[in-house]
Amino acid sequence: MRNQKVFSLLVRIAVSAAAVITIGTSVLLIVYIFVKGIPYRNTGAGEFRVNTGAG
Amino acid sequence: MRKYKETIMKSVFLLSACASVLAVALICVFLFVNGIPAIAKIGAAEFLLGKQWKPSNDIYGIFPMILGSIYATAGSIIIGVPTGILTAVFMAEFCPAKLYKIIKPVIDLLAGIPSVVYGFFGLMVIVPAVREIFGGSGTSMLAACLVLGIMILPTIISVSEASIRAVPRSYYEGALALGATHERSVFFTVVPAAKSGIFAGVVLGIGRAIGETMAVIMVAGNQAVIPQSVIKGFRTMTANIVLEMGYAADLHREALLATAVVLFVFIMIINLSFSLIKRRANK
Repeated sequence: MRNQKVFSLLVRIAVSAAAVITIGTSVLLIVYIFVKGIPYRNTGAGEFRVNTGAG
Repeated sequence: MRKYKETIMKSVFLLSACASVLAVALICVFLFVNGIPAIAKIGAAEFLLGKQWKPSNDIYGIFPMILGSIYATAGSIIIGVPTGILTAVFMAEFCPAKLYKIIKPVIDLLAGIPSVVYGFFGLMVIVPAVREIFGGSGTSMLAACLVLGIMILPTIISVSEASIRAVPRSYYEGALALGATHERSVFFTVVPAAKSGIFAGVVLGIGRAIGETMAVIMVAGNQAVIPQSVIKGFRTMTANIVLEMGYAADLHREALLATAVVLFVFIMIINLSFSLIKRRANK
């Protein structure tokens, strides 16, 4: 009975940890791309500048 | 009229199937016709087992690249497969419905991200992290394995989750009726019943890892030497082809095509082993 409980606990920890790693990495990747990419704007002359919001 | 429609549609399907087979056959013929003579010129043993790749001196040994591809794929399997399968089990059997509605689109989005974006993420986040923790330049096998491990996750998760969900509910209920807990029923009844689908997902993931080029080029360092440790740079076969095809000529170009032949054979071996294992499992 005790072994069953330990097994259940271990399984829950393992699957939850895997899900946290996957979701954490996915969110980090998506957020990172947007955070790094959005401040830049294409000036139209083949160059990218930091968007200051001034047109 | 209906009979005509059926005949036309049959012809369309036949043509589509023939086009696919013809495309694969043409790729095979092109690769082998252009690659095999180069292997013959260089010498099969020297080409496959040679430890030096120096095109300027007409030395073409792709052993470091073969090892690089194998190591990178093995590393990505170690990182990606357990995480992917456990996440698939979580999503299919343990995830609350509300959370599932958030997680599923995120995983689907991950599958659609281009490899160059993964490479960029690896270059900006993983490489500096490896440099900070382990020293060196950071562009290394470890960085490549981590990036590839993340890249194969959505493939493994999607296919494995679908196969776990396809297992008849009566299996799970039968296990519960015999006194097993939810976790035991899932891991000893549902997951073994879905192993064929899970294995298909793993093979697809391996195929993606071994064929990946852009992300690997950005984080691997690309030195054409036998990898000495996980924090040293290395080069894969795909990277070797991409990096040098732009300026290669004569035997150098043919040697790169021969590298593609070796890569092609590798993928064929993986697919054949998968078919054999699947056939044995179904017996």
